Amino acid sequence: MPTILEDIAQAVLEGKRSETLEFVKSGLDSGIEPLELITEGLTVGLDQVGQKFEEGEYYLPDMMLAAEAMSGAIDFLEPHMAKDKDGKNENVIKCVIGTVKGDLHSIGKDIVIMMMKAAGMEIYDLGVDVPSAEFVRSVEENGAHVLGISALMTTTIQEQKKIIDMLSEKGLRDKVKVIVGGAPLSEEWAKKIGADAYAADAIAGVKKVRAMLDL
Amino acid sequence: MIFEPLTADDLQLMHDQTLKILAETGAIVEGKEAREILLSAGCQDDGKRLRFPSKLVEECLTDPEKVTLYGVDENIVLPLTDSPRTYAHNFGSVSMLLDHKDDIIREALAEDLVAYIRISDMLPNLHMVVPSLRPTDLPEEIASLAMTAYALQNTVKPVDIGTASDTWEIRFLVRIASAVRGSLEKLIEKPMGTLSISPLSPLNFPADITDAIIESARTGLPITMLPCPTRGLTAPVTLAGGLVQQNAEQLAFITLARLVNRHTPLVYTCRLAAANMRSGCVSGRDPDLGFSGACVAQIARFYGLPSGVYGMDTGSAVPDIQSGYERALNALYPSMARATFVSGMGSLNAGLLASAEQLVIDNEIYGMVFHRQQGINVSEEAIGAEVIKAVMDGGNYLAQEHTRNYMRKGELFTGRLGNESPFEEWRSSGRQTIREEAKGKIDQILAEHPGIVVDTEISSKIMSLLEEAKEEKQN
Repeated sequence: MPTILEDIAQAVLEGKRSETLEFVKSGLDSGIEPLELITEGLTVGLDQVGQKFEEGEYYLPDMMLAAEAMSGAIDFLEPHMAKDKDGKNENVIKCVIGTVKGDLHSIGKDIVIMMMKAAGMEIYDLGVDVPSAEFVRSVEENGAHVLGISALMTTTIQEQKKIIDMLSEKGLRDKVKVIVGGAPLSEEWAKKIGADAYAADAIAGVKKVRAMLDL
Repeated sequence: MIFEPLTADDLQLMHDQTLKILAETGAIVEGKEAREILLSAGCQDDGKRLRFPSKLVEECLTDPEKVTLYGVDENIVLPLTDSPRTYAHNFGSVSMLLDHKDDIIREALAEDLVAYIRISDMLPNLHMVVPSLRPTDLPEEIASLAMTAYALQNTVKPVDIGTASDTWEIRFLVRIASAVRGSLEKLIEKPMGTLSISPLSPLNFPADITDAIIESARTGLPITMLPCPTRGLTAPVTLAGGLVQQNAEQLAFITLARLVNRHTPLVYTCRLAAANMRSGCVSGRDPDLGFSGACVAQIARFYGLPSGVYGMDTGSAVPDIQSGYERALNALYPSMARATFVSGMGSLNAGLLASAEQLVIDNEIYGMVFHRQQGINVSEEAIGAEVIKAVMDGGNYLAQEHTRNYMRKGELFTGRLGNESPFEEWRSSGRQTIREEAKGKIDQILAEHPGIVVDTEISSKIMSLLEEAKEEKQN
């Protein structure tokens, strides 16, 4: 018989949202601490998902379904965790991310967010068609370590430069690592506009963020 | 012979499901004027989306306007509705290119754009010129206008008027195109191209887009309706689901455009792609790209509309064996289905790179693909039993009138590129590859091109409009 924690991990691995939630509920009923359900159950499942993705067995929909199963369970557990919450983990990487003004493409950005969340980062998603000042404001307000700027069109990638210039004007440029993404971009472009990194896809993006922050 | 992958029942089910989606799910429609037009025509606002009554949509599908394009030289005529053949055009708006001289990937400049347009002008299997490159050395705010302005001065063929993202841009694009004809009325009478507008997938028409649709429909110029969904990311993963969602986007577009102007000429153009489920990017290696294009040709015909589809594409970043087979396959399916337009000439790497070498090679690929567009002439005369007898009686096929006549009618394919010499000849003449041949061809074409093809007066009118646009943007 698998333990309830193994059942939880397996349900996450299979991306089954309602099963994951049921196992987490019965785990809680049987007296397992919420934190243990997360670290010994949900996270174990998600790690296996990440491994299968690396090995080429899993694809993006597998990742997405697993991440959703996990976040549904965490949403349920959150109110039960209030009592052991002694403050937020200061080591967590905070990322502000959004798609530039004039550009309404969200899917690439959303995949990046999913991968970042799965890697344990804290995400401030600004959405699409975001004015430059909004990126800068959010970086300042949230003390972000990383700023991700997405643009998909040859007509909108100029906005990425505007945001980076605005960060410099506000004296914030050296406080945050800027990573840019979008189909028409290149390493040269990232260099030209003064970004710290360019990533061709979500997996590369997360790797570059970790590398930039020496993790 | 026309390749038709969908049965009559398939088409009917797809149509019915499309109407159901529009009536029960609806589309996100923003923009004050578009909402007013659609609501007063009977669409319902459910708080999130507008739902389209089937009766309204079906009314807007009847008696579509016929579409014909003319070259910058008006003697060139491309009938699009019920077109007798498939036409090809090149890919547009790429800002990086593979330099054919030193093989590096670099930013595109205005001089490259002019060269690409002139090459396109000279290739016989390219029928409409789309400004291939989005040069990085042009002022960003007028780059789209400048692309059209350069195209109109450097080719005699039909020219894509532009991909419009707002009403300001449309007004200037229309003025620039009108300068070629002398007036807006003459432009409407003989349009040299279409205005392209892309809604977002799934089923999302933001305010800029609906304003652009309304403005374009009012001018009376033909519109290329251009949704670009990706299966598995912004559309259902199934081919049937992707085609139907894309069809719903088209039908919502048609409804708005024809409510604004019943006589708007429309081209049912789609770019349904598949996702690479490891990177989350569009796949350039997808054989369904061509196959879905064949389906689109059929669906558009079901509505009496001309079609535009991807055609050739590749994941490869250089003209190589991969780009050759992927492009040939994706070019073939829609052409066999008699799509009105196939695209993709001169693009690499799923549309992220442009290549002049690939452009001239693509002319060759489409030449082969189009070779049997008219099918096969099976007649007693063509079969030539008499000729066979004459040869058997002691003659020679080379010396038959029949041979010469049918050869001249195009019975044999004559290519312009690619080796077919015996290896000894190929080896002794320098072992030339297709890429080397293509590079040579580029230089030859550019040397032969006459340069600016329009009168000086028209040319200076176009350039002064460009200046005017720049000043307006700067103020």
